[in-house]
Amino acid sequence: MSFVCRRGSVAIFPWGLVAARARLCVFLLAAVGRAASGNEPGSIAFSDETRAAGIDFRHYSPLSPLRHIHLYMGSGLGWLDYDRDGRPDLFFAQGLAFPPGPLSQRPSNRFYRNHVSGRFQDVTSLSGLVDADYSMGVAAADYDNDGFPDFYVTNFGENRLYHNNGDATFAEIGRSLGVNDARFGSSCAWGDIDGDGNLDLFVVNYLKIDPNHYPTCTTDYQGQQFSVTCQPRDMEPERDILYRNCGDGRFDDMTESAGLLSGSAGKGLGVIAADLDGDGDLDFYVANDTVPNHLWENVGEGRFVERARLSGAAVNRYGAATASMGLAAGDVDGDGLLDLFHTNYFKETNTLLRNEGQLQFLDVTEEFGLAGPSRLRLGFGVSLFDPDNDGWLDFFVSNGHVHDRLHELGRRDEPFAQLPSFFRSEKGRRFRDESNQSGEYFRKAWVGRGCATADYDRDGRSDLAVLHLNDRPALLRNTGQTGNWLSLELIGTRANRSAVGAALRVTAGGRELARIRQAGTSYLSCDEERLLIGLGTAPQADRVMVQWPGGKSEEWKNLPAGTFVQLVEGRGGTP
Amino acid sequence: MTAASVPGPSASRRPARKSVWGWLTVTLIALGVVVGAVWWRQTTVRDRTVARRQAAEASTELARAEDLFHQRRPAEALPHALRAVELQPGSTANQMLLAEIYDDLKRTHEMIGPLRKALEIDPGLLAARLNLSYALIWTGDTVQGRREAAQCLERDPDSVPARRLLAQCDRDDGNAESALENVRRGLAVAPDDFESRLLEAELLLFMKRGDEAYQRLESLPEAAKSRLRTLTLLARAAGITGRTEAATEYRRQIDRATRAE
Repeated sequence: MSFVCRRGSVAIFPWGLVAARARLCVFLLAAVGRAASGNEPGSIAFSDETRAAGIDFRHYSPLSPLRHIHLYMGSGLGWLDYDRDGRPDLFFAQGLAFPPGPLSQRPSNRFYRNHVSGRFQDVTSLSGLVDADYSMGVAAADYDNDGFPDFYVTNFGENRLYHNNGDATFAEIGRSLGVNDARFGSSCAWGDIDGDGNLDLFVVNYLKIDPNHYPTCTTDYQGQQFSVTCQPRDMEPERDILYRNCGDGRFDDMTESAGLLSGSAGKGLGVIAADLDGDGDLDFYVANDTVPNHLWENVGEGRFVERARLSGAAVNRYGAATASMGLAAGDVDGDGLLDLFHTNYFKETNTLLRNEGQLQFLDVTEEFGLAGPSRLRLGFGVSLFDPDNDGWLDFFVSNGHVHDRLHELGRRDEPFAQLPSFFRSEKGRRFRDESNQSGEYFRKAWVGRGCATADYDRDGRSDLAVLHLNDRPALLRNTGQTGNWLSLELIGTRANRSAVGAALRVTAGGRELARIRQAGTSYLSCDEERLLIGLGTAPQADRVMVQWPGGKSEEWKNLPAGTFVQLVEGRGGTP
Repeated sequence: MTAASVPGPSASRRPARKSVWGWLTVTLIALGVVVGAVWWRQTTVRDRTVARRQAAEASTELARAEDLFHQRRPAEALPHALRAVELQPGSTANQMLLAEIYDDLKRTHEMIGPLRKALEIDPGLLAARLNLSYALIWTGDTVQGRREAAQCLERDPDSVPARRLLAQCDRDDGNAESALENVRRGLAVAPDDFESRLLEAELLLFMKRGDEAYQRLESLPEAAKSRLRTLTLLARAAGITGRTEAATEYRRQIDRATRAE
């Protein structure tokens, strides 16, 4: 049973939303008409619409003379439809000088409301999101199942949890709920670890840094001393945190009881919450900088065991721990298993880990043609998505170095600003570097950090937003020739309402596509909640099977291409 | 009136002037030749002296660079190698050492310049061509990397490194079958070539032939099996093929090897 242009079972209509819904339905019908003609996936093209959309945010992280490391790590961004008008809105995490200036002069995080007109309106103050800390990561999900997405922000300082009041405003409740850890937070992800319908929260921490005794480093070059960012490998790692959502408004820090204090601490920068072993519960994969990555296997009853080394996901094919930053999970080769991708340091290559089943991973970076094109880049954000709607997942990687003065040290070959990368899938067999052909944005060097995807203009094509260190962001509208598509909104009723952790199997055109719903991905960033499924030339999805978090599966049949559909838990058929 | 019919006074003096000017010219030319010759000789001597001095300095720099490089101090060796190349760019030895130092410093992409120069000087330098192919593949340029490897094979059809480089191009271009064929042609010539054996195992794992990969790795000599890269592959192959105990044991060995490193 499908719900095209219908609300489904969750009847929460805030202020004036009915009208917005009606407009959206009209828009959708037009989209259905376009898709019905049958589109062939073609060229990839992104158009930089940042200025045209009215986004005037500029990231602020002035590089201090002593080169304090957190100033180089930058920030992320997140898509969330906070007012439930059917269009994803955009949150940018903002940096801050170090040491920070007076409160009145500090820049804030910025939040933009997405209008039907294609313009974005700054609603930071209106929505109560003004903040003046150095913000890093963003993860959005409806943690209290009230129908409105909330979001968590990690800081170089006290973290924040913003509760969506449902009236276009947010309230900061991190401190009152005890989830305001003040260590060096980086990425974060929501996920229901025990299937109780409440979203738990994984917070990644990076390095142990006391701002009052901030470690700084110098290097000698031709008899001169230069201040440079310290090497993370010489700094102390910080432990990650797992909060259990009790469902009654409380969060418990279950880091220790979950077993996350076993083994060595990482220097975490990225996290993925996904069912990596296919046993029906969420595992966590954490990208660590210069030390082996962590794979926390959920062994039930709220406990996790670190399996990265045994699973082949800790180090690269040469046995080396890489400087891992951003993460993505998805089925890149179409075998139904979730593969992992992490961005790495200059000359390390990014890493693609193919899921071999039984929680075993194999580094197939070279075999997929991803090594050479990524060697002379330093990758941060990564988006694994399907912008040409051919049913095969492609990669966007935002690149940029962490050292801004290597040229002064005789290293002109490692630029601070670098070209972004776009790798297109050749039907899941390998990837081809199509960065040069993907639009003007890709021809300029940026100091890229977080990135996230959304179909922000609701034209059935995945768009991108990218945050750049000390620069304006880029809102990249997908203008390429794409295949047919199906846009799905999953709504849990027994499972968490955001359906975070749901696993989908979409059968279309004789293929089965595996997709997952995540809340927290890439580097410090968060994709929109809708899942845009590329169907290639198929006129419909013959079958969509959803495995809801908690284990229950349902199916929907014959969903036409070019439609926006809500799949509400309990309203599908039995597979 | 013509000059012949009315000889004037100038006509009678002309031969004498001509003679003076002629002698002057000849003298000047002769002087010029002598000065030029002296200048040329001095310059040549100076150039030769400079060249000799530069060659000597280049040799010294090269020797210093080599010495530091062999002491595993590539960063310190680099300025000396660069100076040697600057003083004597026509020396393949200088260019090759510079390339080698870049590789050791993990600045592999910077090998390409000196290797190309070495090949300009001596197109038959197989080592330079093999390394150039390797560096090109490293940067993702499999088209040119393949071309250089193919040229190596033309010169030496039994070159195992060239066969391996071709296999790497095939692998990076998504042709695992062809890569395996190339690597096995190399192994037919040198069955114990360590790098080829590892590449073969990697390809087999990628092609989901884990058991075969594991057995091939297991059959390596003990010294080769104890190396970190082999252990990593063995642990992978064991894990993927369900040999849990063996995988755990290899992990332990990796830990020991990592600690030792």
